Amino acid sequence: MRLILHIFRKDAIHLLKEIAVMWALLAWLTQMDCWRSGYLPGSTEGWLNLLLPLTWSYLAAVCVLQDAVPGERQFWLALPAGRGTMFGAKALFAAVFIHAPYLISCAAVIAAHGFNPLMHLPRLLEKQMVLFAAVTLPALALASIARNAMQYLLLAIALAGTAVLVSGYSTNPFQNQWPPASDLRWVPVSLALALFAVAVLWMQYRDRRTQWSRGIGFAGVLGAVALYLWLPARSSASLEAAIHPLVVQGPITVRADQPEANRQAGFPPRSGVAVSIPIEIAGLNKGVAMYPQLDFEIAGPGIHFRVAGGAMRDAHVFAVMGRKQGDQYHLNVMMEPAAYKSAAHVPVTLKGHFAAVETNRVGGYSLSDSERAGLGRCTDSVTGDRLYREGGLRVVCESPHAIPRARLALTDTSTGRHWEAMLGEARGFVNYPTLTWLSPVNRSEAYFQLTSRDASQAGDWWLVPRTTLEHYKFEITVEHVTGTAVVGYELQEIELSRYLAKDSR
Amino acid sequence: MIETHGLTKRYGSTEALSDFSIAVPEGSVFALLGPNGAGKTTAIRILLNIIHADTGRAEVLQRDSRKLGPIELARIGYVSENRELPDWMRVADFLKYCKAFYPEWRDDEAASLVKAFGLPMDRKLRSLSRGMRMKAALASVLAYRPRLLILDEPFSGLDVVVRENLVQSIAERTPECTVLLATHDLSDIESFATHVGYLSEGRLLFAEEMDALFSRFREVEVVADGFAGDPELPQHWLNVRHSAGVLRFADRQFDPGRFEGEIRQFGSGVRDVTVRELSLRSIFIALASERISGR
Repeated sequence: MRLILHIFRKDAIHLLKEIAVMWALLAWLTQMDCWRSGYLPGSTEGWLNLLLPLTWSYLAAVCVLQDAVPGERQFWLALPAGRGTMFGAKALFAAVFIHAPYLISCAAVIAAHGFNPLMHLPRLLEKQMVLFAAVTLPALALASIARNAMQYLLLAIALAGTAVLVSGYSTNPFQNQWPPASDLRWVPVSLALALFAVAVLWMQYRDRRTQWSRGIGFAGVLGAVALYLWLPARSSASLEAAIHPLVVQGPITVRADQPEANRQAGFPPRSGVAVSIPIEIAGLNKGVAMYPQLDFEIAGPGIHFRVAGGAMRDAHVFAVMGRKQGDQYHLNVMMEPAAYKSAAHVPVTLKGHFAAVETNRVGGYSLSDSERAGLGRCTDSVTGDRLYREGGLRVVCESPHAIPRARLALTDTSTGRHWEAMLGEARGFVNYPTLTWLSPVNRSEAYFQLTSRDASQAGDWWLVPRTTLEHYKFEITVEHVTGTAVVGYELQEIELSRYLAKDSR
Repeated sequence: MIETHGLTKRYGSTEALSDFSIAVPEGSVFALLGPNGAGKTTAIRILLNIIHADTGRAEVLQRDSRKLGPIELARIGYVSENRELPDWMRVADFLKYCKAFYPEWRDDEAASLVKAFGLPMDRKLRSLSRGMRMKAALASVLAYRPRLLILDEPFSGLDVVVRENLVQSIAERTPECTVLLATHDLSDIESFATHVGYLSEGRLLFAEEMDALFSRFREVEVVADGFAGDPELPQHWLNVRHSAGVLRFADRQFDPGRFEGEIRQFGSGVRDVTVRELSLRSIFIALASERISGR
């Protein structure tokens, strides 16, 4: 331990300027995060959320590079300090100059927003773990296979370039159709990256096998990117289903109904042909939401189109489990004209899986009850306008924990008119990064557009007259996910031409 | 103190070291000679567990060099022209930094070395001349009185005065300290080496005590009215030159009894034979010529 502290001290003295710059940036971000009330960060805060992790990774890297691992000429190689001691010193440096300041920053932000940091210590430690897995560990590993800062930079660019190149090969249309709470998608990816980083560090500080370690590092990044891109959405949904299974009475069955006359495509088929098959789903509880296809397949004599979580470069079809219209679901399939032509008049089998998610809705909360509702602290305020000029009524919820989906009902108590908005659906249109992943406070916002007009026309349903501000109340309904199921189906003997939908445009 | 057995190391298709076997006895000053790129540095890095040999094994301080750890390294001093020093440190900080790693560090020894070498304590290593940097590096290892001192080209490019200064400092520590000195410059070692080995293109051509080397090498000059016939010259005569009735060569296995018989084959025309001891430089020139001529 004595030598660890000794090497740590040496690094700290040499990197004092870098540490000072990093602390200044962190202090700046902390100050902005303390004062921010909306979910949308200012441009400086947005950029700092991007810049600071880069600064941290650079700091961790230059610390390791003070005593670079690859090579045969470094001074430390013949010092009577074990390689474990050397790594210990570098890890201590990262803990003291990256993680500890970030922990203090998070505690300050939490406290500034009225929460007790000690009560939310597990959440703060979770942020530390995320930072460790996403920034510190990969930076330490990457630096351990570089000889100097320039090589570190080149390796980082090479790895990032490889990741971009690999992702360029994926045109998976289901990429963005993961069910909600699909943070699970990140878990195996992060775990894979972290494991590879640990393997690289282990190999480097144990045997200094740089070529092997570099190979493992590249394989790790490629594997993680591939995992992220090609991990079937079904695997994540299956995991969700295993954690929170959907309790149903009997089996869930899916069958096709008769074609509807004059069915219009619920989605614009652009350059394609839209097929809309009304389907009947039995066995699902009421209130179960359907989410898009996890995979989909059209098979028939000489016909085989498959759309799955795999590589999608040659996909000719795109399928969506349609939104409910009354009690009717539709399986909407968009096909390229040539693909449709080949399969339109022969009986085909449609196979696939979709996620069914049940939520428990608990309503009746007012804004002052928001903490009881699990939304943290919610406040409303009238703001200046973003898109229009008439201002808006904004509700912002802040919590150190993840904020669940919630519906906000705004009621004019004098007229009884009411408007609804989902918490978290408010979006700002800005041209800078808005991902504030370093913030320990989650923020979710709902926005009601105000107008000075009467707003009684049919098309004005989304506008809230300013007079409402004199007498209004909010009612919150929180949606807790209670169960998920992966539902498979097989629709046989389907003649697609009978279900052709008209272009709604 | 050091023993190696058949060390071989390849870098791609280049064999940097081939079947390298030496024994460095305790208390000796072993000079490992050879031209640049001969494999001296590779051998030293294997000994210090900085790199691993492909085959063969080495023992340093009675321990397998692959398992050399902090305990052994604390008893070894390593100075190399190829070793990157923490240039951003001032000399005082550098010595202070090194001190923490060596339990046997002696402040009085360090102070006397600093004084003897005239080290400017408040200057950064990067601003020092090459000679001063070497002195600082040497001070940082001599201050803990290592049992084994491994020096890799420590004097290359230094002026004579600095070189003598360093040589003297090292020589003063023997025989308590065993020294392995790799160099391409004969003048570095002539005055104080007890053993010598010659490495060329990764192969050790010989390794033996200096006294034995000096006793078996002789420069011979034979003056004759004429050399009878075309006698076959012995294999151990090196660098043979023949002009105007004078034959000169270096005998690498000089044995007075056998030598007489070898000279007799030239017949009765031999008028004079002069046998002289060879300087280390001449020995190596003879060896190098032998290698070039492929004998």
